[in-house]
Amino acid sequence: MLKQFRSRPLDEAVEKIEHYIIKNKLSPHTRMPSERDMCDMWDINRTTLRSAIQRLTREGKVYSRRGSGTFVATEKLLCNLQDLKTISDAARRSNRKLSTKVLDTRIIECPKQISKKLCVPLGHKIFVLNRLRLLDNIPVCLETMYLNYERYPTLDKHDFSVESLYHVLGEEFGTKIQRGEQTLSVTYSTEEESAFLKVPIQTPVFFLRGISLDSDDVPFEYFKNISRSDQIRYASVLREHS
Amino acid sequence: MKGVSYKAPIYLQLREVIRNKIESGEYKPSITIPSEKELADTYGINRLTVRNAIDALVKEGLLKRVHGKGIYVMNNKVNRDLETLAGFSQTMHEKNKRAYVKVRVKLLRLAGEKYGYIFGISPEEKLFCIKRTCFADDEPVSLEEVLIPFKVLPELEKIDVSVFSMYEIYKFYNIEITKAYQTVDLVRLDAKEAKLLGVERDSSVMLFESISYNQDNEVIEYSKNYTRGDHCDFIVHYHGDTVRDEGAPG
Repeated sequence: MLKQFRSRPLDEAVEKIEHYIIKNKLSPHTRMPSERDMCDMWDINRTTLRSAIQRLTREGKVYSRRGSGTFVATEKLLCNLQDLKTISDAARRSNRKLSTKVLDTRIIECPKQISKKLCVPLGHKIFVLNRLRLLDNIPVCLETMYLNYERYPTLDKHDFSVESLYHVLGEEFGTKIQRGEQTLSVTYSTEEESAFLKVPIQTPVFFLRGISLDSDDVPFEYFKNISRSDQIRYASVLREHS
Repeated sequence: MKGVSYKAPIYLQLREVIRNKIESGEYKPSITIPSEKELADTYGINRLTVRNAIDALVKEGLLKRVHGKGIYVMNNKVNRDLETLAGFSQTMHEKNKRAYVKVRVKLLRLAGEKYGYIFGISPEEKLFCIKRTCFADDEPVSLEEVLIPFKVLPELEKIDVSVFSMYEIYKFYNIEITKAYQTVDLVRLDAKEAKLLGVERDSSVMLFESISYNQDNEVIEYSKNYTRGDHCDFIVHYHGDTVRDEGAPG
């Protein structure tokens, strides 16, 4: 027979705090009760409570300010990886203000690795778009997109800090995303990325890259995104294969 | 940025050069790449710069330094498909890795308020709590915590969860999981978990949290999976007509 256990006090304390936040619908940056009050409320000792807060801090659910207590962390923006234009849709859905800064646009000679992804020959003209996405003025994501300039020769005439790239591709060129494939992994921010994202150098960040294909199954875009994991959470819906 | 502009810092450019050579197959898995000195000579750059570029790729799990031998291409990342409902060993088998799990904890506990809320049951009801370490080719790859209400599968008490994946077990008992919501975060591990996963303390790993539902939309399973980012890439396919406004767990 399986033994029955009460959970470890630490786990129990972690769950109590998490549940307290959910049950009371505490919004980000709300101050949690004092350590003493939390200990009394749930009948746990100070050491256990502190370990629980440490754990939740590592998991990005709360943060502490020395001398002023523990606070509920910023709500991360939930981006569904199966959506097509994850971040702008996600921001709209959760009522947050997304702004975009174009860092750089340029036309390059297609290098080997892009040539493979976009199925165009070496030296073909490629339009590169570098953008910084900000959520309520906090920089959250650095996007680099590579598109076939010979197919889309007017891209450099647009202002992609206000226009949607996909909208332009659809309206002007009739390109619609049919499907795509992207890969998610962890990387560590470089000096330049850190400066744009306002995080310390070598911060672990999400690295998402992939291609989008049009209705003729031709890849039309290759992208690489670096995003802050304290601001963005990725999601997917899994379904049984029919 | 991950671009390849000539204006980018040299170590970044070199990092991309090496990454591309690995991707294109010029540098092959488990074979050494040119030494730091050779790379420095080839590109006319400082050895320290070469080391910086290589360090970054070692951290990402693409390269491995073996003292006195050289720098090896790993490229042994296991691709896991974020959309397929498959247990750990099933996914691994498909990728030709020898996979097995070690059960660290298997017990019954009270749901408590948090999980009572998630499962829609009373805090007094019991849950199975299973903690396992998943290995691929003898290296720990992920730590898994699974919670299942006792009443969903009382037989679980007698089932050896080191032999069967949860999905196999569900299949045997005709529990049909029709969908699962999964989220991905980057989190830091505490000393104990880091040790179990064989990584340094305070390393960042990917945390997958999933909530699985049956055909009646009841929550069957809640799971947390801490996965080493240097061993796995996660692939997601998307389609023009899929799951747009499904929303996700609250």
